[in-house]
Amino acid sequence: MLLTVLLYANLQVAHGQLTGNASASFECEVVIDIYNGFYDWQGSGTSFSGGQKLSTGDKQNIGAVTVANLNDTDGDGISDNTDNTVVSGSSGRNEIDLMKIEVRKKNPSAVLSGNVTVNVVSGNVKLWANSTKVMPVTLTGGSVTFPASQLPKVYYIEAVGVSASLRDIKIQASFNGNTDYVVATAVWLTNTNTWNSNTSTPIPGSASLPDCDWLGLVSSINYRWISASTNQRYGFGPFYSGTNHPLSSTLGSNNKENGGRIMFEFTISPPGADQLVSVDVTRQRKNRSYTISEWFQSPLSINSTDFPWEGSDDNEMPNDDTNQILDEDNGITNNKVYSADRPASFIIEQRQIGFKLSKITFFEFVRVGVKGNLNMPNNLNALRGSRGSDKTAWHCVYYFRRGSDMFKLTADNQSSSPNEPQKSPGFKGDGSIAINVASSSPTEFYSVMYAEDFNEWLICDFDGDCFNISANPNGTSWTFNQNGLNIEILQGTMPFETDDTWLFNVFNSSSKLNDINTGSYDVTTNP
Amino acid sequence: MPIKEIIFSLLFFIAFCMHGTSQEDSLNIWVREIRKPELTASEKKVIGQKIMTIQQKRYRAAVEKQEKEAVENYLWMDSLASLPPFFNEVNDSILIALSFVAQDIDTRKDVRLNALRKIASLNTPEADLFLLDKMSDIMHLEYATGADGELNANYPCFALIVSKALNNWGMITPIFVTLHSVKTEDELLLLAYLLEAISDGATALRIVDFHLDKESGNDLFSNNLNKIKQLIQQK
Repeated sequence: MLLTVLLYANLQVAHGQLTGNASASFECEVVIDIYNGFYDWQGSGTSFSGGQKLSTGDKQNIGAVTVANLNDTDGDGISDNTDNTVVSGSSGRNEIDLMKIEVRKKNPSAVLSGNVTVNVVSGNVKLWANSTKVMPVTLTGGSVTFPASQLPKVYYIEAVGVSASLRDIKIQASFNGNTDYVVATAVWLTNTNTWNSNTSTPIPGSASLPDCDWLGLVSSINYRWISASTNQRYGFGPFYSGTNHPLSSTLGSNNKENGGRIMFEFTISPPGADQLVSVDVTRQRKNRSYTISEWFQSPLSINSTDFPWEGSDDNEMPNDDTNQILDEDNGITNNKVYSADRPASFIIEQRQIGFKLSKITFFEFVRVGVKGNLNMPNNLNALRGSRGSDKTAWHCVYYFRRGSDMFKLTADNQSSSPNEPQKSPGFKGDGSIAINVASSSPTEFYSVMYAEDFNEWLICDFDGDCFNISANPNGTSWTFNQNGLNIEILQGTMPFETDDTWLFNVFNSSSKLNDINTGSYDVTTNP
Repeated sequence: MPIKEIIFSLLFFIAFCMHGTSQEDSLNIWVREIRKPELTASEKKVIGQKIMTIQQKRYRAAVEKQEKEAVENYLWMDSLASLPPFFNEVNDSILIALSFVAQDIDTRKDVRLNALRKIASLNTPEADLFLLDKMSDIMHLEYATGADGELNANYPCFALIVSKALNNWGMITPIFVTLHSVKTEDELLLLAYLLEAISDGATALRIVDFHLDKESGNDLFSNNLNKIKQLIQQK
């Protein structure tokens, strides 16, 4: 019988469920408990997926979990591990990343004398008397000692760095020669790869990127965001965007959108932390988008978004994350998760749009919560868990102009450029017009109208400055070369008729760019 | 008063009188007038502004006419769809009428989307089933500039139904009804997400297991459910 008991004890040790001093902890009259992070312990408390007290078995076998305190929960611009006061402000919450420990008498009615010692056995941690930090607990040789009469005693553990391995944080309470202990893990994710170039090659779901295996994201990148002409999956340029698309009837299996495509890989530390936490990659956005349309002289703002903290929202509130089906793989496979985006425009826009431009800067990051508790509501633009990665800044900027090929929007990189002229309704002639502009030509809207009685064209700008364009000696062509504009009109088989009118815009900007890349971009500069 | 100014004023007066009857005629008058070599630059610019104003008005009128024609036939949707949900028979009729608009590819996209919104607001099992059944038939009624809005743009029926999914246990029945028909991989992906959105992954799995046991003899249904189960487990 004795042999059986000893054998069982040895097996348990081998499985890591008990330790060498487990028998001592059983005897200890002082108990230490631990609670998961992701909880605002102030007042009545608010859970951000955490705050659970671990059971007697779990506190040593599984351990509590939180994120390494490398984020900025209070939104004051100071990394929380160097910020001694993490209290909610206009753009942040109270600290939610500290794990609570409670040292108490095993028998509440017992009268204990002597000192209790709480010792940080291992782990890169600090102890605080308050969950918002403020009051540090001074450790001497990694320990703090207090009279047993002060029990129960509460401390808050801050993980100032990432755990090197699961459960590498160990806190022990000692009393009267006996001990009890708890363990914990501090997780963090790192942006380990970003693919944003036309030469980026990984194929999600294949041998080149096997850990990105969520069907929704895989199908987005491999079957919709892939270029129909070049098979490029990433970077800037036209792409396919699916069989069932509004432009399918016009463009068939050709590219139907134009813009950028980017994918991120985040890797969780310590390895195996997926058994402790759930994660969700999310995104914040700031953008300014404009169109220049017929009968508009200058860019018209069509969409404008600021970062959440620039309004009255939390600095960790997403504003570009209404779903996770098509653009995220939050299932941790081999310690990796993925997210992707494709800021873009339809390749053929409403007919009156001559130029379309958008400047967007993003922050991509991962939020983390206790495993199974990071609830995914229908709208993910809400505070969930705690930020568990750096914010990766990236941007996409596009300046498109209406081109000649089916009026498709094409990248416009010239300082000054005209769009492809549009015929006004009822245009009868089938001749052609070619427009070139000087690099200094200003932003302007033009109407070019035919007057059959005089075989002349009348070109007018938005302000009413007009010029008559007489026919060349052959009578069927017209040339205008003035004010930085060069226009050549040729009659076709069907003659022009009075009121046949072409409309076009010229757009001059020194900011023109077509790019998707890492780093932030000032979207507030003039279009 | 110089003769030129008199003529100029007279022309303005004539143009003013004609404006109400024919923009085209007045435009032609101004086009003729602006050719006159004796005009000063400022006079020419005034006429140029008149020409541009007339052209712009003509352009805007054409656009507005198109807009008006596109929506005026569908104003009935707003009033009918606001009937209380207990008028079941009436709601059935409304659903039929709305579903006709929503599926009509010749109707403007914003009108079709409005019809879908009204269907979603009916909150009857039949209306929800319509949205689930037509998930892949009615697509791209909105414009998405990025991945964030792509789901709503690609699958408006799904977007509408998932927006009211949280704790909506009445949605379970239409979900399992629609799973008796052939589903694409994408549809199963969305239905898996929808089941999770009602409660959570663990509950969704229990519900799927329950229905798997209940209708184990139906191959199509079982295959759909097994695929959904895999998708939920994969997340």
